[in-house]
Amino acid sequence: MVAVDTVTLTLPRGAGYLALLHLVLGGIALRKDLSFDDLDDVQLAVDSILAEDPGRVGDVEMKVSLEEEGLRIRLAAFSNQSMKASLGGSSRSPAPEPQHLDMGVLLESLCDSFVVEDLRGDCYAIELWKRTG
Amino acid sequence: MPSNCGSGQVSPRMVQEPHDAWHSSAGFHENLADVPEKELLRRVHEEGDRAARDELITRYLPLVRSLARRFAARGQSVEDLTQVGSIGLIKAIDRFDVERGVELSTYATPTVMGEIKRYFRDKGWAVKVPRALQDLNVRLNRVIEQLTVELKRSPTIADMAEACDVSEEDVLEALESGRAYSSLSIYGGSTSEDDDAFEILDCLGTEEREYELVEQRRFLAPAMEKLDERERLILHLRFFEGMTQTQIAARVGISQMHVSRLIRKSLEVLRTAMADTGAVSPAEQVKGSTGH
Repeated sequence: MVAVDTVTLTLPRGAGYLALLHLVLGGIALRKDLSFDDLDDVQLAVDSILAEDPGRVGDVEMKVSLEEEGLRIRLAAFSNQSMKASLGGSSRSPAPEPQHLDMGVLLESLCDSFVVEDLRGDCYAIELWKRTG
Repeated sequence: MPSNCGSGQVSPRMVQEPHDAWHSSAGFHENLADVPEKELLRRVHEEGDRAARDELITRYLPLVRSLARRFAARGQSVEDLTQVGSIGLIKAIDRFDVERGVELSTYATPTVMGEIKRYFRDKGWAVKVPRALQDLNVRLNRVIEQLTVELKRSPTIADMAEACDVSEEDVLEALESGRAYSSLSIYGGSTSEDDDAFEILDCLGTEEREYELVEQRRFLAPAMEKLDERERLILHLRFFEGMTQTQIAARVGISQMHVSRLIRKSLEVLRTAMADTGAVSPAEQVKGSTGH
């Protein structure tokens, strides 16, 4: 069993803290020898998710696991149901129109995969997987 | 009026009052207008002849004005930009190596352009970012391009730190500080890469132009109209063609950092535009057709 380093960060929502998130992601990317291309993709994915739930108050938690083959980034918690619908994978509803840039298309382009995890109430978390190397 | 003129301060006389004759270092009136450029340069560098230097400045002011006019649409007066460009001209004259066998005009043009671009760049930072970080950010822009070619892949933070001889933390900080660069400076102002990008956009190949025409007919979402052709093309290449930023940078002819900025800016524009319509939920704010 390989030990996985994990970094967890809890911080207030708001654009003012995005730079801090970016720096943390950059520091982690450094340890995984992530390319600038990949780092920017991950940062953009995180930015985009946070931008889609602007009305929500409280903290956002980012947990980054440095796995052997890549980074797993879990962001919580969100309540925007429209965003959730656009991330629904095979159950995506409504079916994405061809060539429409919704959040699902965005994350599929920026990461290798993502999953939505239901939490209590209407809340959910989003987990991104970015392969390295 | 730009204030940071440093040692290359241009006096109004130099810029506004061309002259035909001046005292040469030899101490007599001489019509320098008839003196060949190479001789003037020799006098400047070997004899410290200020009159010869002023004559060269006078001769090259039309070039500076011409270059300044290229930036006039960016909200600065041609006169101010000419003053800024004149500083670059003086630097070019003072640093010109007569032994190199190139024309002064060849050497002066990029120097003048560089000075004007630096002026816009310094005005473009939205928040106070230390000059050292600004410079490192600009340097990284070039280094990323160079390393991408050399390594045949997108460089890592460690690659960039080694190439710039700075710490990895400095690289991260400089990359992040680049996001403090105002969108106005990217689109309304001028940065070195911006100007290159504008020129390259003007010269996009037939294939790209035809592509754009076809694509334009297929744009469905009104929000996409808020983006220019290049921004739509970049979104299409990134999110529907699966190209990486590095690949897009090579295709469009701009730096990878600039591609990154344009993607972010475009998504933000889409979000704002779709939110303004009030017809869609926040999650759909980024929805927009890029054509197919």
